[in-house]
Amino acid sequence: MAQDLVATVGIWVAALYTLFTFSYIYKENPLYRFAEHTFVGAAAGHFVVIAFQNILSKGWYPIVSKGEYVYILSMILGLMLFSRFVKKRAWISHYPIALLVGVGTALAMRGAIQAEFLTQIASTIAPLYTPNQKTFDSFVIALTVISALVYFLFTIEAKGPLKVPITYLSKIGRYLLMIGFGAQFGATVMTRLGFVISRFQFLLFEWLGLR
Amino acid sequence: MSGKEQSFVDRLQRIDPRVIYGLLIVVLVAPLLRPLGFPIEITPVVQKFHATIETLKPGDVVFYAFEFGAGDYPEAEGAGIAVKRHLFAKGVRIVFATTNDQAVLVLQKSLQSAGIPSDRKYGVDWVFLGYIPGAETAIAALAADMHTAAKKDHYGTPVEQLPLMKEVRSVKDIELLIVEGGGTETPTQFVRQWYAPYKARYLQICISVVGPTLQPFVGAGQIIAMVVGASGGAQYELLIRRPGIAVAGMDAQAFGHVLVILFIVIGNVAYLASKRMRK
Repeated sequence: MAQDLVATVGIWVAALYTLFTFSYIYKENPLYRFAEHTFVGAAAGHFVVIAFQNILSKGWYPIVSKGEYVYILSMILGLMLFSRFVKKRAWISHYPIALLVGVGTALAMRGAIQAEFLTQIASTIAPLYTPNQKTFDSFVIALTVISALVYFLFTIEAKGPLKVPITYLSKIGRYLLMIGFGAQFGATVMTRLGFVISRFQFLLFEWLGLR
Repeated sequence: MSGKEQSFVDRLQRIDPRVIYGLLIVVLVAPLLRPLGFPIEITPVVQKFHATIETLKPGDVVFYAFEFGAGDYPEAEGAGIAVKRHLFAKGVRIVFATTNDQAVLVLQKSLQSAGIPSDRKYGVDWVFLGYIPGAETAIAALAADMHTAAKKDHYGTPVEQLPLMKEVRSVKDIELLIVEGGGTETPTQFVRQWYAPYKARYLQICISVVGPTLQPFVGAGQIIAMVVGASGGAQYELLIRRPGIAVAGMDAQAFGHVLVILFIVIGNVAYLASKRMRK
């Protein structure tokens, strides 16, 4: 019984917030701002609680209950970040930031060269004439990569014998990039419509019960 | 051309956004209430996703990184639910985890919608390691040693006390990795930290806007297959023969696209016409 009541209240709150947010379509108004501000506040509040729980569970409790004193170092590094709020002592925060950036970069580089560089180049350099359905794909990929690179070629002037190929390839590159941006825009529209449809499904079926 | 015609062309370029929104609401709501049942074609990439899960045997372990926040979850909700239903039906064991603090609540909603079969026991058939902070460092740590990265599960039980986790220590004990959501950054991090060093078999669920950015990973074989957005979700629901919210939204999606295309055409025709008139 109590659970049903909580669920019903939850559905009503979600429905009202959806309608408040949609009211922006007409014009900006206090209901929209209320929904916007409470959403931002709730998200920030949620993040603060989670962060605090993490400090307790992954730092504080292991130190005080298990004697894992190595986490004191993490705590000190974390506290050093707060020195940014004192202008004269802001330099102290550079050390933990440097450590974070260093570890992050090193970790990313470990897989990036193989995953995002070598493998991607290898998959781009595919045979153009293979008797399967990927032949056309390989041709499009090769043409797009070469022409898009030529479009961004600013260090060689298009003159002499290079003028015609560079000009044409550059133009092809521009059009192919525009097709790519168009596809990306289409995907964006699809996502946004998906969000709206999901909200309408909620309003119509869960809130109003029109099934 | 007359001034009247010119003003009509100008008006076409300045349609009140509220008119567009109003029409959009009509074309989206009407097919939700009266579905027309447009045919949905199953694409090879979704088929490949389904076929990859079909290769799993009961008892195999899947690591399921659920990375959706509340904001981007709705578009791929159907896809995520359908894939979870498929996994539970296959009888595989699942280790859920996330590196997104918001995803904890969203995963619980998704699991509730998917419906965990009553014979699947927590700790034995599935576990939830909870939110593991640290983004890419957490992802790398999970691959290397899950017991160190998450000493307790989401409910506070030490992981070594969970029967499933006694058999699962690192990526080497995992048969398949599935990442749901995470924008473009988290899947890229999984490719860097799970595929590159360990060659983990990797499937991805994402929203439509993210799909094209992750496509190069599929092309290169780093991600085996992707289910993208509501459309991918609808296809997957049909593959597992359990039509759900994604299939229900497809007619609305189609009508919405037609309206957007129509307004793009109108805007461009009006722009070209006004340019011609100025000449």
